[in-house]
Amino acid sequence: MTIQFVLNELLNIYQRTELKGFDEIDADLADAILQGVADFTTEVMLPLNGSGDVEGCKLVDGKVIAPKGFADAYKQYVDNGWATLTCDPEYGGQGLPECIGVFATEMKTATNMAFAMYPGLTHGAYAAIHAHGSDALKQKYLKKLVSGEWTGTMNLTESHAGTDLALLRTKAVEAGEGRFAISGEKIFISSGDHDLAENIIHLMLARLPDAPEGVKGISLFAVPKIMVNADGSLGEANSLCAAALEHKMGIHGNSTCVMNFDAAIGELIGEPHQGLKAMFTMMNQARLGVGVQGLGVSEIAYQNALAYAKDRIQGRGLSGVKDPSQAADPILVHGDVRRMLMAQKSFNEGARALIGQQALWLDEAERHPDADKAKAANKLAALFTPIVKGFITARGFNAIYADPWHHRSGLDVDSQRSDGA
Amino acid sequence: MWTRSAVTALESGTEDKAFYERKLKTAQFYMSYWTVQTRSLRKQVESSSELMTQLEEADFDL
Ligand SMILES: Cc1cc2nc3c(=O)[nH]c(=O)nc-3n(C[C@H](O)[C@H](O)[C@H](O)COP(=O)(O)OP(=O)(O)OC[C@H]3O[C@@H](n4cnc5c(N)ncnc54)[C@H](O)[C@@H]3O)c2cc1C
Repeated sequence: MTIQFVLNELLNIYQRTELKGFDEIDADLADAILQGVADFTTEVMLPLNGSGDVEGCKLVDGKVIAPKGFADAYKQYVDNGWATLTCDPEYGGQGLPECIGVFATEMKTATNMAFAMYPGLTHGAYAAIHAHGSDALKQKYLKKLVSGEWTGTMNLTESHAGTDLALLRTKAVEAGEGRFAISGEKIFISSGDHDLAENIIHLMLARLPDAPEGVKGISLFAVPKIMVNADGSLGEANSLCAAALEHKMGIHGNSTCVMNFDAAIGELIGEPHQGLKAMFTMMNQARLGVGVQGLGVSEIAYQNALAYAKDRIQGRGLSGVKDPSQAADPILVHGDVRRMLMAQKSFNEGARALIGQQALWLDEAERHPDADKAKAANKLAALFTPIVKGFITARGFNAIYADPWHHRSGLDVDSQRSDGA
Repeated sequence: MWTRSAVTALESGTEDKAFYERKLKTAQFYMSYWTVQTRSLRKQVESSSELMTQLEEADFDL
């Protein structure tokens, strides 16, 4: 309902038939898809959220194992076609607009962010290869990334190069037949290794031997975990591995890895030294995705907080007894609890509208027949990308950790008694 | 208070001048960064109070 309100009444997407492919969608179709995602996320992903976080990923004999239930849930995710929603039909995607896809992402993040990050990173890898890869690379990787049978990663960060990628040292040298041997260590790599998919395609930033200093000397490579033969079948393991799992404060169900590459074989995506530009395609997707994560976790925090405020009885309302059958009233009667809840609810609804608009600008940039209008939409999307990412995550974080903690008070501080949601 | 203590210490001569100067700069930052929020926070409370008392339980649903 609340998502359809944004799509239908706020953004009027079903009237935007001038945008390529929008004439094929209507409210019934969008409803059916979003309801399907809602069912999958609440029935399959949500039950694994708490257990996945408590159990976490494990590194056993050089291989990462995701928490119990994740591999099976991921298989269902792929079999049901949820990975394909907004991808290019040429490679098996359903071609749905981004403005519908973002709300599927909101529900996935709200119910199980750690799980949602496996397909999330894959979508970024798909987008970068789709935008910058050669035809051969697209043929080799896109169908499997679109279906979700293979997953993707984004390998930027090194121990000495976080925000400042100009410092990165990973090296790539020519290895013949248009291939490169890549060596270096990357840290903090989300979904870096796991047992959910048969292959993982690592998108990596590295320097060629003749590379200029700084960010103008960075190239982007596709490096598979398992080599892919000419006929598309899987070959030998590539020379790379997960050396360790990062110890994070949360999202334990997602494998954040230290990755070692020892002359691992990969192929160039786009032009030499233009890697950062190509990676930015992926990073812009990722940044909108991060904003949606902020909304998703803020929304689930609100829903949990509201259920608690209706259930927990404590004290009486200032305007008199609300429930005489109980020893006290639900805490929802108290002005301060109402203020916190309504502040969070109204923020979520505003953020949802902004995210829908941002996604629609991205759709316009790609699908508008008038080049000037497409360009204008692209500029607006570029302007709002950091706002969507920065503001919604910062405020979403507050909404989770400040306000709901405040009104759940002691129960949330005691992790044994909290539901971990 | 904070500023006054630091100023008094500086005026009466102190061996640890750098320490009290750091305290003064931090106090200046506090005043220009945090204290200005009181006006908007007051406005926030005042302008949302009436609306809040009018909310029904169902208004919190999605
Ligand atoms: C859960 C998680 C998952 C991640 N997944 C991935 C992944 O999949 N792939 C990947 O490559 N990386 C990943 N990262 C790494 C992430 O991209 C880096 O943490 C990020 O780039 C920041 O780098 P850093 O941690 O080294 O911080 P630093 O760059 O050392 O920054 C430290 C602090 O200084 C600030 N700062 C630095 N430079 C500036 C500047 N110019 N202006 C203003 N402030 C500045 C930063 O904001 C930060 O607060 C992940 C990180 C986390 C926590």
